[in-house]
Amino acid sequence: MNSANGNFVAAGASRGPVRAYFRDIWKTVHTILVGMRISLKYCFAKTITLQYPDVAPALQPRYRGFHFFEIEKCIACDMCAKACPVDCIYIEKTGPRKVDKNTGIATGGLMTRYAIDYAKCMFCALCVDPCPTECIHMGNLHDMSGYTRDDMIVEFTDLAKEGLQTPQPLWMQSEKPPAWAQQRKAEWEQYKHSRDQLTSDVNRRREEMAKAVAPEA
Amino acid sequence: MNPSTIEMPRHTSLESTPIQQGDLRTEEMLVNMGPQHPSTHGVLRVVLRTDGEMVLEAVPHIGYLHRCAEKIGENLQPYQYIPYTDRMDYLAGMNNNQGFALAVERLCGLQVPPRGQAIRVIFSELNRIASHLVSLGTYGLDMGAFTPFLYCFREREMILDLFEAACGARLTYSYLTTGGAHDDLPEGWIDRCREFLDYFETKIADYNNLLSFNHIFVKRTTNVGVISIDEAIRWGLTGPPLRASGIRWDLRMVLPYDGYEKYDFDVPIGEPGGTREIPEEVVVGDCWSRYYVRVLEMTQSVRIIRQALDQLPPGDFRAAKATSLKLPAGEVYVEVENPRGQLGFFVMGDGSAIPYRVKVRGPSFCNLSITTRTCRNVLLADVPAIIGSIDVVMGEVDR
Ligand code: SF4
Ligand code: SF4
Repeated sequence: MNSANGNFVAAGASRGPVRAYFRDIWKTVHTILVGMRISLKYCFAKTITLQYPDVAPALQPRYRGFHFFEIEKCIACDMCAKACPVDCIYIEKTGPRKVDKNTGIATGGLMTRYAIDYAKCMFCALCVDPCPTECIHMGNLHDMSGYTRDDMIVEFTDLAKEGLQTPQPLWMQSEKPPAWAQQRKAEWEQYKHSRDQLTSDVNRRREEMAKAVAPEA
Repeated sequence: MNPSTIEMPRHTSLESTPIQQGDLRTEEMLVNMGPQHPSTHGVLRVVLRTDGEMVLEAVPHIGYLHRCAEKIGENLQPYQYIPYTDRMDYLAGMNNNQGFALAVERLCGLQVPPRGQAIRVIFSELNRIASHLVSLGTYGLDMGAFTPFLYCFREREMILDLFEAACGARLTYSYLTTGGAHDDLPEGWIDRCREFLDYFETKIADYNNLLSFNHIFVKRTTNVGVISIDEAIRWGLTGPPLRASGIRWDLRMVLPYDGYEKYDFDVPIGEPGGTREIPEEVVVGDCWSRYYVRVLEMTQSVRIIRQALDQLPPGDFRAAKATSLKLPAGEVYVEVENPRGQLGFFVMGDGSAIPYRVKVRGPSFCNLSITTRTCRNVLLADVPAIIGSIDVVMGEVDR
């Protein structure tokens, strides 16, 4: 390289260019060997790269992923929508709602729509703080994709009718997801297909969620 | 590209470059470096006026990442604007959060509880290390050294894990917010952080052996893009580029905020070659000094974090009512020491909850301006070395 040439002639002028030339070569080889020794150490070290998606991602408990929404507690008060800096929470209701003290379920007007536009959402968690009934949380789902922008709008009211509280990632539809994902998928499926057995807590809760979006009988 | 559309001052004449009689006469050529050039760290376009291998003039063209960040700040409440500050200097989100939060707090006279202040110091210093690691790694990458990059990112990943444990995000934290921090530290976080610091300190020697003192790297970066003290001040440089020129100026030291006066640390500056471990080719203010100041700053950050963890006071981490602030009529300008220099926020209130005016002084933006000065009559291969050593983040230049 030109600049290297220019430099060593200048730097080595007092010591003699020939000596400086060989000094440079020696130093280069020496420092590279020092670096090589460090690299060599890691040749025998344990691999630390996580092979996602074959291995499940290691998410921390406070991870801010796609929201986890408990619709049966939501009173459609608009506090979360007002706190959202990008205005991506859409709420529609037919009348005021109130949480029933005994059952913990919101009743009153019909909640016709609760949707979040994830094309806009920046996962800042500001919507979580003001909620009076603590029904919206940041979930641990980090992988969701869609083919169009409209795919990114998640209708939580529609999900609630199926008994779901978070959107379903696209990989669930793939034929052969990796092992960790298969396990998650199985849990999800079980959650979805056991609609008639109202035994477990999960199922009871799902029924409540469905009720929360259905008109009062 | 039509050369006449680009305005370029023609103060360098060909006479200044040694062209001898009988040489082949060559034409000047305009070359666009960027906007998608791997060594420009984002979408920066540099128009180079070249004569063979020599660059006679380099003019940075910016604006590709403009997102109206200042105007958005004038339409949102301060606590809602915090997530947007993350996206300015996206390698140092914590420091940006802290800067804006400080400005708003000073305007409103809001007092941050001591624990909140200590948490802020810990996180902004951790973020400084993470940001410098990216800077070191990618600078090595620009110079053709791939290995240090991987090691730097391995350590950075651990810092991001610590951040994720505390606030749930890995890049856009929104953690340090008006009135303190958004959450308290999770259980066991302090021990994890100490563990990381012990581990990290041993790794700094590795970076030095791999990159800093590698003779090829030293030859590529020493005596290149030298910025004198005088120039550094006149061009308004801040942060590592200023300190590398030999000025001991660090806001954490001279105008302490968030309790920095409680901690004991040094401000490293560029030193001439031959002193201590510094290679003898080094000139104060060259690319290598700018690089090495960052390495030394990481050690100082570790020192600060250690002290802050030891002295971490109990109590509240966030002031009460920090999300329902009324900004009184008046204006403040607050600067904080970002990893890249002094990040300033000007906030003007008019009695409502939404600022009347928000203005940001980006350190990358000001530091970038000196490329026109330093990239004059240098070799083409030195241009990435100079721009890389200034370490700009385009998200914050364009805002
Ligand atoms: S703040 Fe909570 S209760 Fe109110 S609308 Fe939002 S999610 Fe529902
Ligand atoms: S996480 Fe932030 S951007 Fe997303 S819906 Fe909640 S408040 Fe809005």
